[in-house]
Amino acid sequence: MNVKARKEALRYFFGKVVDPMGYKFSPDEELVDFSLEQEVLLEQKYGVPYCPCKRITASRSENMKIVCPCIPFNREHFDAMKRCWCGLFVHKDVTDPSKLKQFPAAALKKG
Amino acid sequence: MAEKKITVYALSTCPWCRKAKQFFKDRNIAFDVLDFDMCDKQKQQEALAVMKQHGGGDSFPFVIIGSDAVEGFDPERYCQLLGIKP
Repeated sequence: MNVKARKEALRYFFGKVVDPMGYKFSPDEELVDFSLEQEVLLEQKYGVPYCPCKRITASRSENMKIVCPCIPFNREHFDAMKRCWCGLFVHKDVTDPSKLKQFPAAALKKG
Repeated sequence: MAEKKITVYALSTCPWCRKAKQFFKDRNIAFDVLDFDMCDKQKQQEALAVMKQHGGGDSFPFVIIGSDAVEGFDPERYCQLLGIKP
């Protein structure tokens, strides 16, 4: 499957997966297009569409936590940001993703 | 203004890493870049050690400004650490 077709397949599949979690694709179409393309390239390289903004480790169990969509493994953190780390998905009520801040999970503990 | 040494740890696949690099480019602020996924294993290990030392290592972009580290694309924090206006 070529990159364009796989991007569309992931778009369809991911949309179905994140909807019941209260998320949707970001309205930032340029970011969505770029990120999906990177995920397809990562999938071609590693066999898995990993998050494009996370480090792939030598540990399979750790890597499973960054398979897109990785919302279930980072629920509290992402809910606080109203977006996932790479910004591919945002909370359903978000209309302007540019106003959302990207901050580390450790910031939640600091308050 | 920006006399602190700046290093952007990035992934070539990460859109926010691009934004972080662009932030410094737009302001003509000198910075070093380490594209983590484009490095060999040894360089990655060295970079990872530095990132972990600063409390990071898993998420990108990871920006070190002077002795401070910022995980994520956070223009306000970059400005704050550099003492410049957002």
